[in-house]
Amino acid sequence: MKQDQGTGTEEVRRRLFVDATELYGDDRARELAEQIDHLAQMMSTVARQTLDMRRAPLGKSTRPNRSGR
Amino acid sequence: MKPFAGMSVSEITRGVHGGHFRVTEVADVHLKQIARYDEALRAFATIDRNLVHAEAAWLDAQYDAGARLPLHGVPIGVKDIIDVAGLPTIAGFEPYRDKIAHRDAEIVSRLRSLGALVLGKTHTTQFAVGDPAPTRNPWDPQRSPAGSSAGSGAAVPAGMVPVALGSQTAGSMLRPAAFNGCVGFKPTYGWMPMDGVLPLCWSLDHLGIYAANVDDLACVFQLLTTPQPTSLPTAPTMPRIGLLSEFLEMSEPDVATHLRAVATRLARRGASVVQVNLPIPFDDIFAVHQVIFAAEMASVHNANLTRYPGDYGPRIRTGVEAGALLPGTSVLHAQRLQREFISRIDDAFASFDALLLPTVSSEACERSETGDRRFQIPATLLGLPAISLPTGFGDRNLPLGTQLIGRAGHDRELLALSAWVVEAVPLIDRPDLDGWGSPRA
Repeated sequence: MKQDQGTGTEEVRRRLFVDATELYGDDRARELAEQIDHLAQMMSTVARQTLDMRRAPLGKSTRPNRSGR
Repeated sequence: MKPFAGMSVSEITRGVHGGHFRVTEVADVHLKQIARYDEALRAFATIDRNLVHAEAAWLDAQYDAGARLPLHGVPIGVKDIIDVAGLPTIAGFEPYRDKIAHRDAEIVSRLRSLGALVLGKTHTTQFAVGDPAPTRNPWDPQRSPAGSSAGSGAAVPAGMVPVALGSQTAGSMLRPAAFNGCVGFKPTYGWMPMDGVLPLCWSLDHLGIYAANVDDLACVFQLLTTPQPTSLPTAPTMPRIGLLSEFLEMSEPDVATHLRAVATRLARRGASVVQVNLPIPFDDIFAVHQVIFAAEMASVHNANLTRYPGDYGPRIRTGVEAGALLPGTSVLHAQRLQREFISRIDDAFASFDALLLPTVSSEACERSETGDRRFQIPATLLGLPAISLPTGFGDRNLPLGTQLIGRAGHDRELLALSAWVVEAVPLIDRPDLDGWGSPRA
């Protein structure tokens, strides 16, 4: 799991895992853990981008391009 | 003049229109090709030879009555998530084996009205997700034909049909085109009708076309989407092409080397090739796609998974179960970002006629996987037209795809540019199925 960057990723991941355990049982939850980790990381990225979009006028993100350009 | 497997669309229609051969002969030739090779290749899921013969005879009767249809007698393969009247839509899901469609999907109906002959349904990964289809790669039976449109992507280079339909929700049109060595085109989102197609993710699902060359593909696309088809627009004399260098950094060395060689040849032919990056970081595009994909797939499949838990493949099952747990706020954020990204990418096309990148980061992978979907996702999420051209071979002597992405709604311009590109960078030949695995000299 990547380090949480202030967007609640770890909390989201914990809640998803608890939900998955309740719904599908321990074995299935373990099988789901990798996919849940993946989605939690994706949600974290989406959340960061959404915060940036709120700060910038629509269509003009102030967020630097992470590819370095 | 006799028909033969591997004929182009124009060769078939010229032959039929000119009375040189009958549609029934065209059908027989292609059915023989399937009978000869498909036990090993497994591109087709369902073929009803009686239906094919009846349809071919009807098209011959139409010819005798004076009809000259634009695709008169052109055989097509249809991905098995798209309804064809009288055939089951199995979608790689055993409980649907006897689920016969009672009417054609809109896209099939349009093709039939143009004179096309539906030869059969082609294998897909289960519900067009990630559990591999039974299809083999026509260049090497031990390598993946990709997914999800595995059967359609393999049937065209194998000469079983000149044209096939596929779909793309992540990378399912373009990746099979690259791995199997044919031309694959995913039009702008919404340009192809989805009625009668099993949905996966409604805001990402696209239909697309496979063909052996750009001319065939452009012909079929124009007939399907333009009320009064004309010739393609003229490609710019000095096309402006943005080479997406960040994707070269993510590619295997042989893939990056090949794409740089393609870019050099295009520049020599007169294109202005400039190294650029997407105006949106790729990681963000990928994340937004993954959240929307997971949520919509779960929405579509959750109830069915509850009904048939033992029949779902492990990858789609895990994806649906995890997607069902996504918070609604995250999905809404992702949808909002998708709209924002679409606006931003459109601005980038003020400077470029097309963006250039590899179709996939590597040659065909092992059969247990369907390949790296990352490079196909930008065009999917942003709804942009994209084409994969089979322009060379990698270190394992398997096909490599060159991807061009165009501006939304400028599909015909992208096809015209593609026709210009293949004059500078010829497409590879078909695989030699008798010596499976060896490209022709």
